[in-house]
Amino acid sequence: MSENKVSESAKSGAGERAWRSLSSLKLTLALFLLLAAASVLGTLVPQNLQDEEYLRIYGTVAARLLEALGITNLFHSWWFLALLGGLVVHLTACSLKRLPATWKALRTPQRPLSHALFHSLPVKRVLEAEKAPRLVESLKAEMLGAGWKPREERVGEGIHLLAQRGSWSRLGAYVAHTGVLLVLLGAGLGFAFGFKGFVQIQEGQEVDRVQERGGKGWRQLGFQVRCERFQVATYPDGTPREYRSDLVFLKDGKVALQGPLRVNHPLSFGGYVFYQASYGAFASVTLEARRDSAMEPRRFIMEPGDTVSLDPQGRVLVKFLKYESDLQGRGPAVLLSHLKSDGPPATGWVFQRDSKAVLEGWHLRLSEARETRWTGLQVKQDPGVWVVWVGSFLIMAGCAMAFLGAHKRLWVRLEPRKNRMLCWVAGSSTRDLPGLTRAVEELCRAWQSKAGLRFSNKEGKDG
Amino acid sequence: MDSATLLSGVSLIYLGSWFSYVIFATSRSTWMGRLGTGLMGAAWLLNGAGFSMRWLESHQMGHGRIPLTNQYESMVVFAWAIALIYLIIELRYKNRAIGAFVAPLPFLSLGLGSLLFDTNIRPLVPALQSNWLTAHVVTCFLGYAAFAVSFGVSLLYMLKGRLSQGGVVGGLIPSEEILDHLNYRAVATGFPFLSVGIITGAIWADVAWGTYWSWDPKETWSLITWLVYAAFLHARLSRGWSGKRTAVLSIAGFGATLFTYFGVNFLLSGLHSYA
Repeated sequence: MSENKVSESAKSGAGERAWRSLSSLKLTLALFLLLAAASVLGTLVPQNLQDEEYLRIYGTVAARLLEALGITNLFHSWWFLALLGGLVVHLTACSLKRLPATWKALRTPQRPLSHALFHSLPVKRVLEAEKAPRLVESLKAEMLGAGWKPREERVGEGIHLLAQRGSWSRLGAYVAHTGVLLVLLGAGLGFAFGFKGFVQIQEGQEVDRVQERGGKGWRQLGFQVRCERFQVATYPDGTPREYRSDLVFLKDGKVALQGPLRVNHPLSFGGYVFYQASYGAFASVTLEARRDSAMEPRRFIMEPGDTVSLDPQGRVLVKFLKYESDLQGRGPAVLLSHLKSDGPPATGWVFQRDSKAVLEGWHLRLSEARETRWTGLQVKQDPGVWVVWVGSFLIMAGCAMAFLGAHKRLWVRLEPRKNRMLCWVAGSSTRDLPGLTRAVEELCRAWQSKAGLRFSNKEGKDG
Repeated sequence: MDSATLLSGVSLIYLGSWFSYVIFATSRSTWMGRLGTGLMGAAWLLNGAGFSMRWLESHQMGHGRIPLTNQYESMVVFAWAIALIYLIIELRYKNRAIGAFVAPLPFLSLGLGSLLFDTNIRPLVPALQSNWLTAHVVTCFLGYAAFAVSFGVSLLYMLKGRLSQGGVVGGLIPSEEILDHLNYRAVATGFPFLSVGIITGAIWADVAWGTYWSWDPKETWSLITWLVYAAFLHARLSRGWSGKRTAVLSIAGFGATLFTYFGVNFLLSGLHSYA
């Protein structure tokens, strides 16, 4: 866009200089480079781990440095956001500076071809023909046939045929840049006013609040979500085919919406969108312990993580680690850990069928297990997402305009010389000079064969 | 014969095409040039046939889905897209010398894909069951393929001086202006495709996970690639960079493309674990 370089050397004050560097291409390239380099760093250093993890990987000094520079949460660090802010300011400045000139260039009619202009244009040819009554008409017809719509203008003895096409493609950059600004604006709206949370719901239970991401506490939904059941369907080879939660949304105790929630098929309710994110099982077991077959067994109802004492004195402590519904084809089993005061804990499985587990003289058996599945839902509210999609559309439309089309201009000047007609042809293009050169050559060939023109050796020197 | 066997055979046709182009460029035998084009065209058709066969095979296995869902299948599509874009350029610019620099790429993609990765057809996991799958993968790989072609052209541009000095392929290489323009055209084709690929990926991520952008390594590297080519386009269109400088940017951009495609999968971990 060299024609847009406004030279205002008269008032090159500090403000003027700042404005010029704010909209300079050097800044564009510098911002791209910095954003790319920061992003590379953000993929090499794992993001948002626990402090202990960073200490383990990098050691004390480096871990503190990474933390202090915001590299452990790089994409939300103040300096990365400042870079994005810089991009917004720069893009706005560029558009404000260049759009008026581009718009003016598009609105100003093509000027007739002067000799100075002819020599400055990148593609030029000189042809000549015998004078003929309908010469100009046949030249115009060939231009129309090649897709040019010439406008005729007469200056003195000269006849000018002026044509251009694809001028809209020059607006593509502005459309795409507006799109980038909207995407960043939409992301900012989501960042400032959006909500992201997670909730686990057990089958048959309901929740009325979800946990905010980043451990920032709970958010009341203002309605209830119940999980009727959760199912995993598999292919014959065991690969999961579908994760599905049958959900019921209750408003004021009444069913307002119900339906299946599946991956790739979110549900919207009450201003929130729900996504199928994870699942798991939660077991509650009853453990029986007795010293001999005559003794009435002691029963313990346990959930994972619970610790109980087998004897009333509190000497034999066992912890419930996990439950398996079918271990090695031997049926349900629980993994227990025997906590000892002297030395590391010992672990072992206790079965429901044919249990042979004995611990410190206590015979153990799993008497009952109740398994409930839970579904994990991602919950989101994002007022900016539509702005992001409109921006994305503009980026695609702008790219299509800028790269599928190219602004091409064609000038033709005809002047009588005694019994002949001299014809100067010249053209320019913003994006596609080879394409324009081809088009000019094709036009000249058509004129040669259809309108009797031939290349002249005058090279446009006279006149 | 199953599709995997057919496709590994097709990689050898790409190899034959590459040899023909190289012999054409050094011996200037028109016949070899035509053979190169013929083999490239045949390989492209059979590549597409292998893709369709694989689709059919998945239906016969009872869990039909478009074969665009793992490393191997993506490399089949990558080869196909490179051959397509190369053939369009050869047809339009009537020059076969570029083939010596582009033809090895579909050969490598299909050959390495067949050799190194699991070619079994697996059913589609829930996260991949989406209408956005096809749009996202196809646009991304057309973008990658256009960048691959721009890389071949840029390599030719950088080596042109040395090659013509040796007198090996001198007269056959397109002029520097044409190579420079081709580099721009390939990037200007790949960039919109990559943009659409990133955007369809974002829409899909929003539908599947409830977040259109999570700075996952794959997403971040696609953005890095996008920034490099955005720098290329701005430097060229607004500042008039051309020739060697844009060729270097183009080669760097293809480096970023390859890292987005392979490096992220094998060196970094993230959500995007399919291909």
